[in-house]
Amino acid sequence: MTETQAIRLPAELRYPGELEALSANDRDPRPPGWRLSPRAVERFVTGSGDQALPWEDARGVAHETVITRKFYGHDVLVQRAIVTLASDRGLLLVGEPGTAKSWLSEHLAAAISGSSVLTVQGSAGITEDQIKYGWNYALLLAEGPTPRALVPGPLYVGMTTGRIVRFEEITRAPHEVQDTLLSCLSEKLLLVPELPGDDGVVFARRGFNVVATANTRDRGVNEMSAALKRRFNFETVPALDDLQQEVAIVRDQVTRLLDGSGTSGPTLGDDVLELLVTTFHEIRAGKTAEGIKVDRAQAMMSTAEAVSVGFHAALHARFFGSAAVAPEHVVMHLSGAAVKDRAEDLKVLRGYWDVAVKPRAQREIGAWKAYWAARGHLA
Amino acid sequence: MARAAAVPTAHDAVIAAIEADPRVIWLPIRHFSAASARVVGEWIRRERPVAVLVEGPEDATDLIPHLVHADTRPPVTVMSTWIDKKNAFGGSGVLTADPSIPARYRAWWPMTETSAEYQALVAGQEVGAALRFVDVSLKAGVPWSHVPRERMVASVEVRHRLEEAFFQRLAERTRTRSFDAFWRAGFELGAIDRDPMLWRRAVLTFAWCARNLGGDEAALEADGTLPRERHMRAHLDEVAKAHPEGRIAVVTGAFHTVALPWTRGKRATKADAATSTLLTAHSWRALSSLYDRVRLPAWDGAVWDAVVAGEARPHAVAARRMVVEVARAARSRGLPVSTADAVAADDVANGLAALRGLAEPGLEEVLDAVQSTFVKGDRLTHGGAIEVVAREVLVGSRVGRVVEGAGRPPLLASFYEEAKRVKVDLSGEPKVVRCDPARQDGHKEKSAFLHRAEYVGVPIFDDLERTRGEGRAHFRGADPVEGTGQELLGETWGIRWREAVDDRLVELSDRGPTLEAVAASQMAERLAEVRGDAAAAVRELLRCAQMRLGAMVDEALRVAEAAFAEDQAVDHLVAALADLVVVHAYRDALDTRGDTRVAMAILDVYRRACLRLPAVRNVPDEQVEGALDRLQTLVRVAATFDAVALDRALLTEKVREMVRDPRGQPALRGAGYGILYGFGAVREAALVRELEGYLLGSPLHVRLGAGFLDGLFATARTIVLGRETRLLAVVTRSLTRLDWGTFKLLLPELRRAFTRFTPHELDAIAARLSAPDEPVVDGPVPEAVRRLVAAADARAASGVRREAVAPSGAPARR
Repeated sequence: MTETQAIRLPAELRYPGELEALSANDRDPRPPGWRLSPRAVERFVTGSGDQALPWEDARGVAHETVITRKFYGHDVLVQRAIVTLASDRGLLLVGEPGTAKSWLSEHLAAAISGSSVLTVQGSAGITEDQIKYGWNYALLLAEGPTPRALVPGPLYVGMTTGRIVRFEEITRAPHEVQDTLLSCLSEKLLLVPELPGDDGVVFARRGFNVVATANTRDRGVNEMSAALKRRFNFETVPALDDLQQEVAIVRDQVTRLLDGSGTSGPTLGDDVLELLVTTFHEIRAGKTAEGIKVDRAQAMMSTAEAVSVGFHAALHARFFGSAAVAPEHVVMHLSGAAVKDRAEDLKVLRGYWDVAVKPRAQREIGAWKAYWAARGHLA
Repeated sequence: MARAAAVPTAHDAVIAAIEADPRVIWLPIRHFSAASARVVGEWIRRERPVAVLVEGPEDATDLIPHLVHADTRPPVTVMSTWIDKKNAFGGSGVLTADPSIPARYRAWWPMTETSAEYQALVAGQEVGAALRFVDVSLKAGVPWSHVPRERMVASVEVRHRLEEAFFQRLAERTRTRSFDAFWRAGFELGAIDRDPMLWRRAVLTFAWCARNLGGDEAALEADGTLPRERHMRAHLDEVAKAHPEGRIAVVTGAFHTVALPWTRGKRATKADAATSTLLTAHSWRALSSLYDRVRLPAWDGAVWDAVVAGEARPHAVAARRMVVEVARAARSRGLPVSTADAVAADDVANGLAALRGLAEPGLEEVLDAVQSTFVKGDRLTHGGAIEVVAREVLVGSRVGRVVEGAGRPPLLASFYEEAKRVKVDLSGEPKVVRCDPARQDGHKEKSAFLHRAEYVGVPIFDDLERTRGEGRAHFRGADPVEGTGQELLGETWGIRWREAVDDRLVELSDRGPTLEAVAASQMAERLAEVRGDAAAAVRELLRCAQMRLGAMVDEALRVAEAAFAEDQAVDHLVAALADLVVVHAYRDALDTRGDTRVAMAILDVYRRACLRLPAVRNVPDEQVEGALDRLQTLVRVAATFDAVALDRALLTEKVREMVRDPRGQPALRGAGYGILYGFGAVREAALVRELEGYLLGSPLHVRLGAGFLDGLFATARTIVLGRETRLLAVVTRSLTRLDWGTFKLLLPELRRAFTRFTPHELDAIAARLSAPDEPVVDGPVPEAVRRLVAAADARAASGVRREAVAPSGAPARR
């Protein structure tokens, strides 16, 4: 599948040039099985600032590549995560929904293993064979349990190839499925009892590890077994507290989504972007920049949700022929994001309009006047 | 000594000049830096200078032999106190509550194993060098170091901002999370492998940059930097003259080192007789709470232990020790942290150090590793307990020791002697101490000791296992000051010594040589604060009596008497009166019991309270309850205090004046009438007439009537409990005439008024209402009450029914 056909490419395919540049300039020691050194992995995630890295591709063409920042947040957290993945413990990223846990795990896996697609999506219906291995039943019936008949799952592949396996929403998986990881993380081996002899034991190659995510709104980590908890180091990914960083993320993500949508038209301007992010930021914080208290919505006002609203607002403007993305487009899609479970959330939004948007509109601050005028769309 | 005319403008020239100095070994340091301490110690042992001059108060030079004695064990501190008796710096009345109280200034120069100053002196003693502190005394430093922010010269603020910005930028550029982390990464970690000469060069470069940030040179004059440097230079010149041969080591903050070689010496003011400078033991816990640079002293201690043990990677060794100690401490608190977790934490700490390009893991790496590996879940919900444990371990509990003969602050010595004398066990084990000062004279001293310790904040107390009700968790017993525990005999205290006790005593030691003197000193300041407030002044008098501070009782009484004349607030005067009665007649036999001066004060304040009484008649609604309490207190004292004759006629006259205004607060008027009735100054007929005036008036007045009744019941319950029933008859008759709506409005206040009676009394009232001539008998619910309740129920039910069928918006009427 080409880049233009895919809705969304994994990180290693989105940034092949950056990974090449980092590899070419990487002078630090690499843990066994890693494509890059820990410092280069960190750089892939947190960027190189203004510095361009020189490198040559396979055809001898010279390039200079700036490594873009992909994760906005605490760099120390990224460092701890990388070091954990270089150790014999798994990494469990916990936090509120939409705080870029999966985003971080994807980019870590892409930089460390060159692949972020060995992914298990935790759910109530997931079974052990979806994680470890299954069987090609035609071959199984024809040949019996042979390596040829075995269909490897992400964990099996990760262990045999020495790559990072991602386990999304691990706490949503049943306990017995979660505990599948126990021997893989502690003994670094996977038993295949159906296969005779050496084929029945899979030893993990160097480079294998697991990065899991769990959000604190669903089933928390409290229900995980103590045995499994012991095999993970935990990192809490907090919501962003820096408005400008959040603006930068939403801008970046919305632009990327629009580029991938295969349509053309107006994009999100900075003024509208700031309205959107400020709204999310302030409702999440429970107070405005002026220090006025506002109610918090029950729905998660995450950065990911802000990206979604921004993307939909821009699509709306494109498909319905507007010359530009206006504040009213944001308002139209805002209630869909902010009102998930409770009608009270709508009251929260309306309250926010009264105490935060209205005074700014009255002071004629930027696009706030149009934002206020569009309050009728909050339904 | 030869000196250049001006500081060279290029930093390499400065460094070259410092390195080439033939007479002086310039040793730049950072305070509380293990690398500085190690480099300085090694340098001095190698170069064997004839003298070692160290940044520290010059008047502490006599203490150096004690400081470097083998039996002295850091942490210790030089502590200096200066009392500005002549108010030379204008602090009296500004920094203190009253111009009569002189400002007192205090400063500490703490020394730990990682203090380069301490290690320099220890090494200097080893090589037989003359040792000297060369900085200005506390007194000389007051004009610079105790400047209130509002009086700070603008250029000094600019300078501070420049420095902050510089430090912040350094941290940002090196991707460290703070300036301290920057320092550790750049100058501490791996320093053991660095050539001391190169290390010094790096420190000098850093200091030169910090010194040349720009800003006005006057800032350095105004904040005391230049005068201090001139003073230190004067010391150096003097020592150089005394030792024409050999080299002299000068150990100062690096910021000074890059300027001192080009400074012209000039002495600052010397310490005077009002200065007291001592060497005393300190603790890591106290250090942690007092100084930003040593928030986690156990970490520094672990690094130093590893340095002394000759470890090649002392920080790595310290990191391992700390993660293991945190894991053990966490386990002892029931947290699920295993040895495997400790191994993983050590692994992560080393991995982080490698990732960050550090030679070995430092404090930041330890903290990160602990968080990453020991916290099993969301940091916000699961991380708190581990953070607390980690902090406790990294703060540590080491307590220093000062060699015998160095002299301890007299307060420390006298405190422990007194504790021993009154048999208060300060061994560190939790103890329960009981004393009964009212019945055993021998316990008075013990009680006073404990109350004084509590008052001045010496933390020898521990929670008692069973502490009932409110108040202090470490104390159970009668407390006349707070008015609690009056039903209890004697006092029970929870006691436990901890290292913070000595820290607090050291802090207090400039206030006096004994606990009594310290308490008196603190009380004198408190009395200055409460001048003009009669209630607060008498409260302090009571406290003085409780602590048996004889001299302060006189002073407190004088302040209180002055306050009676100034204070116009009736509530203050009545509260003062009530407390004075306690001071005079408290059952626990305070030393003031029966004191004639106190009796005279009672007479005075009673008279003044009576004179001001009419002023309370119009207090706002929310203050009525308090005013009623005060009125009752006044009456109670007038009725019961018999040590001197209190003028009841005056009280009667003023109460009469208070109730005369028909627009006054009805509850207070009711209470006033009740008092007058009780004194026989008004007949029931007049009282009934007054009540009828309310109850037969407009609905608004009817409500006010309920307030009147409330006040009346507060001061004259007997009026309805006695044989007279006329008043109740008026109430009953008035209520039956009310329409339903008005009755409903009145009901809550009426109920509140009747809450003044006990259930038994209510039974009696109900019985009397239904059968005025029948005697009241105890027993099951009287039939009369049943009838009353049934009638009220029927009335309420009928009202509710009517309201339920009334058209919307049209209130049902009876």
